Amino acid sequence: MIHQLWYWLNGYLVLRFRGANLEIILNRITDSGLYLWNVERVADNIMIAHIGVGNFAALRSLLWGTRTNVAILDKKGLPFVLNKLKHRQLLLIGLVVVMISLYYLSGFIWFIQVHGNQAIAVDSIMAILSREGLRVGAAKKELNLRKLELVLMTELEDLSWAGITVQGSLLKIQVAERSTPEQETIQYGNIVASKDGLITQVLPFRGTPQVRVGDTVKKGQILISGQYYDLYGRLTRGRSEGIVRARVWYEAIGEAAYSRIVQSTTGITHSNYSITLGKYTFTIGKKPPFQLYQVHPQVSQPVIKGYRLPVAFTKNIYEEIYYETMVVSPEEARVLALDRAWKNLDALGVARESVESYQVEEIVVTDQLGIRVGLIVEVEEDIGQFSPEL
Amino acid sequence: MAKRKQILARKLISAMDLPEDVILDLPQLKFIGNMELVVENHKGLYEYTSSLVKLTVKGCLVSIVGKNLWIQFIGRDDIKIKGRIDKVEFQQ
Repeated sequence: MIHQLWYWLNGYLVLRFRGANLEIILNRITDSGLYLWNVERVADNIMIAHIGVGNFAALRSLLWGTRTNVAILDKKGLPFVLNKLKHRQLLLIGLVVVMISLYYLSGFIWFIQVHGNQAIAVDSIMAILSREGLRVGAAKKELNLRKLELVLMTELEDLSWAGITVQGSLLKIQVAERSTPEQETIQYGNIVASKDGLITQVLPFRGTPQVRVGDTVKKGQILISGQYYDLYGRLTRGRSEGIVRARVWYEAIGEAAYSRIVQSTTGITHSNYSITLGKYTFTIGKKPPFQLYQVHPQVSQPVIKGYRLPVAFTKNIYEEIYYETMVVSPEEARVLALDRAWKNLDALGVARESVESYQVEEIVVTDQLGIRVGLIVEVEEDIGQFSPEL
Repeated sequence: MAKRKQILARKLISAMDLPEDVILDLPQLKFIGNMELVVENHKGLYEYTSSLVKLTVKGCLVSIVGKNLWIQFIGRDDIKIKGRIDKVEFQQ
């Protein structure tokens, strides 16, 4: 192996020997101290062998006068590679440029990976680090990894550990998040009312019920206590569980005016054109001769082989508009106000289907310009909410 | 006379605990399984085909019979033969 590496560095030849009694020739060569490798007999009178380039002259003199013919099939090794490169200087320059570029570019961060995060978004980690100068393309020598770790730990309270390592052009951010105790793991606590209501059903699974059907409860009042007597009659504290349903009332207000402003068009139009180049827009043609208008732009952007060019041509059609006031009947205004009240209720999280009964209260606004509708609905729902006692 | 000299030399080497292969110029054969054979201290190649390699060693011929045999290297004293070696025979 060492021999062959040495011969590669010095160059070697692949020879073809042709003649009779090649074994005798081989012995003569080796007896003179020459070394052959990869000797293959390909036919009765033909042998292929490798020899160091420096030994070829000695070999030729050994074969002088014999009937053995020797031919060089190939020249291999470093001197021949260099010789080839001499005639291909551009390739050599290219190789050198590539090597220097690779060396230079390896001094920058080209890939950033974040591992170990679950609740904390990658973007928020990257936003903090980018303020400290970490970005794709940042120079490695300008980064202080320990400082970056410290900044992460200081700014993100939910982190319990942060480690930053660089492997070549890849920067790895490994984080460990602080674990918070889950609600289920809390041992002690009561079920309390999440809102005011009239109790309709109490189903305690664990704990002592503090209310009965028909009771009126206030928000925050204990419904099922976490203190109860166990099988052996001992007073125990635990995590209370159960369902407490109650009638709950919600209020919402909707308003509607007795008039409505409607936009209409006069039928007069005006057109001009504009050309957009990147973020710059140039307008060709006059501005519309009216104050109130709506624009209908027709944009065309040329596409060449699937790529959109950064230039766009737009035809702007301006349509003159005016506003007129329409009278809304009191009945129509009431329906509209009631509909708005239902929508406001929906925004509070009350679905219309779950409503058992409702009351509508109408108030005509004192200046006679509109109507206000108050909507009170009754819903039966589970108002029990676990409140831990730590 | 020569035989007596040889016997005497062997006894002397044995008594002095000297390496026999070096003193008596004997070949040393080293196998790696049946796929490689290194012969040190050979005296030349006698015959070489892909199924038979015959080497001259001191006092006899060594025949290596096998399949796809080829010489990985050959120098003045040592030779490495590769391929599937089936049989090695010494012929006086």
